[in-house]
Amino acid sequence: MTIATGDDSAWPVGILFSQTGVTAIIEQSQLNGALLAIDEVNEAGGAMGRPIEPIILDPGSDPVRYRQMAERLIGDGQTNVIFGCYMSSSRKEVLPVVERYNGLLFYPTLYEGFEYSPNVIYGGAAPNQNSLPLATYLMDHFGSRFFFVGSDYIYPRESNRVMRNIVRQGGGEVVAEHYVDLEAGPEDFSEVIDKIAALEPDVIFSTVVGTGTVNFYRAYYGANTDASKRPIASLTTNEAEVAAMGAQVAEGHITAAPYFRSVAGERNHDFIERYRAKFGEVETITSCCEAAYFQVHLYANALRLAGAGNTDSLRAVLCGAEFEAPQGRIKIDPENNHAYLLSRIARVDESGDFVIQREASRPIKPDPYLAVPALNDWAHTPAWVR
Amino acid sequence: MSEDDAIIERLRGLSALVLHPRDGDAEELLLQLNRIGCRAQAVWPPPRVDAESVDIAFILVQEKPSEPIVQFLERQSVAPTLIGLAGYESPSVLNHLIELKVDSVLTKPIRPSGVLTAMVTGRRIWQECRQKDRMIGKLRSKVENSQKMTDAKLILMRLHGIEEQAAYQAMRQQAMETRQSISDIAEAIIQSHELLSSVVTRAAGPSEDDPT
Repeated sequence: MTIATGDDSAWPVGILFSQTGVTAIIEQSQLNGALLAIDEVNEAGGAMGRPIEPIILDPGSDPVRYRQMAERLIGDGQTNVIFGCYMSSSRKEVLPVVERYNGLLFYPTLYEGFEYSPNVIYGGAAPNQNSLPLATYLMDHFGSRFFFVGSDYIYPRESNRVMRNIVRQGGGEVVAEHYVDLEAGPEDFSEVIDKIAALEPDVIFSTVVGTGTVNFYRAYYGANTDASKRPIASLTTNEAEVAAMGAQVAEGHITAAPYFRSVAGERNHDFIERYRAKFGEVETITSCCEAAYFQVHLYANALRLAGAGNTDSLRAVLCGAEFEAPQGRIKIDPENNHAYLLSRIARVDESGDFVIQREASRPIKPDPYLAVPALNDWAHTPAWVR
Repeated sequence: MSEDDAIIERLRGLSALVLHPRDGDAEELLLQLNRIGCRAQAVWPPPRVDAESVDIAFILVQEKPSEPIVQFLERQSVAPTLIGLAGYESPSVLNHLIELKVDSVLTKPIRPSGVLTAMVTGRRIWQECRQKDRMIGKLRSKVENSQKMTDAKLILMRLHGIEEQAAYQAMRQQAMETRQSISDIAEAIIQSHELLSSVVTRAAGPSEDDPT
């Protein structure tokens, strides 16, 4: 399909990140990352002399609206490319739309794996790139009695299944698994906090997402707990949420992600400074923001390389494409459209900054169909550098 | 770990064979099998010699039976899990799916999503059928054995005018002394009895109420 726009002077792209609703904090961060990259591309003369023109819609954290808006963007021929989605439930709504019209969805979010579509370019970590390293780290440092708490939807359930497998292989146990509503308020966590106090696990693995994250960490802090001894570990809790909950609340807790604002190097420094110049702050820079950012650049490079904006031409050059991202050099695996990503484990310090504790020495190949990650699988765990 | 988890966990170790002409569908299927992490290869036409053992076979299913595929399947010592690749949902194709006893089906055009599900459901059905076959075999031999024991005991009871328990003890004693299974003893008793009675019947000549 060709871009059915009368305007030949721009590359229109749909942007579907919620600016309202439960996942607004993180999706606003992704939106910013995408917009910063669009600015950079356009300031550099666009692609083949044409700027990228974002069509920004707000699905309000409602999966059904993601589908409706994707229909409007792609079905009505405004564009063939969408950057968007955070929760798996929203991606699953957009997926049939991009497949039906042969569009492209750039999905800059970690997720549970077990998906491949020729119409999606995945920019976030699969479980073999984040769950496995996190579990190893936690068992090395805190012990093997895990308490799981998560929001009740597919990502936490699947993520916990993976984690449970790894913990068991390491000889550990999951002492309890507790799910809360996606829109859980502060009072909804009192039961979880009581259970944690009663069961005394070594570590808490949280897959609570959205506004629930801040509520959970606050409730945990309010219960006179010691994060230095029994931290909450997460794959999603990020800089923006730490800023929202406050450094005092977040101190000592742990997150695994391909990118943290504290990643060393000039490339990341430049990225942060440009972000500051555009948005006036850097608190909202997260790994999902960085993924949205590098995915826009991948798209722009693909336009330049393909010399065309249609999906088939773009896909042909996106498979195997590499980019010097703020996290390091990333690459789209032509086997599965997911990305080779770095893997890092960081802990929040007293000023609310993530301090990297461990990082992979090289990008990890994505393995979205890995059902049972093996703790000692050398093929998936590169050497660690402290 | 439950059996169902084991099915998913073991998928990666399976060797998969695609018996389908090398076209876009076969290509798409091979790529997805590769993503899933199976050892997969596509061969067309179906090999005439024995291939290495195949755990799961994806086979072309059309409106008419494919002799080479049927012959290939007949040569497998252990029947692989069969997944039909069907282009039409017409009754002749459906019939063929039934005749080939496929465990699961993928309709063409092949899309990446759905392959894993078809494999898992196919494996479950295949596994369950094999477990049931094994169990049926066990039960059948158990029933046959029990019938044999009863027959042998009856023979001993009639011949020697003893109780069932005594007949059983006698067989058990014999089994221990001759180091055979009690079932073999029962078999021997039945056979000797049949032999004896047929010899006796013949020696007596045609019976009186024989119409000739």
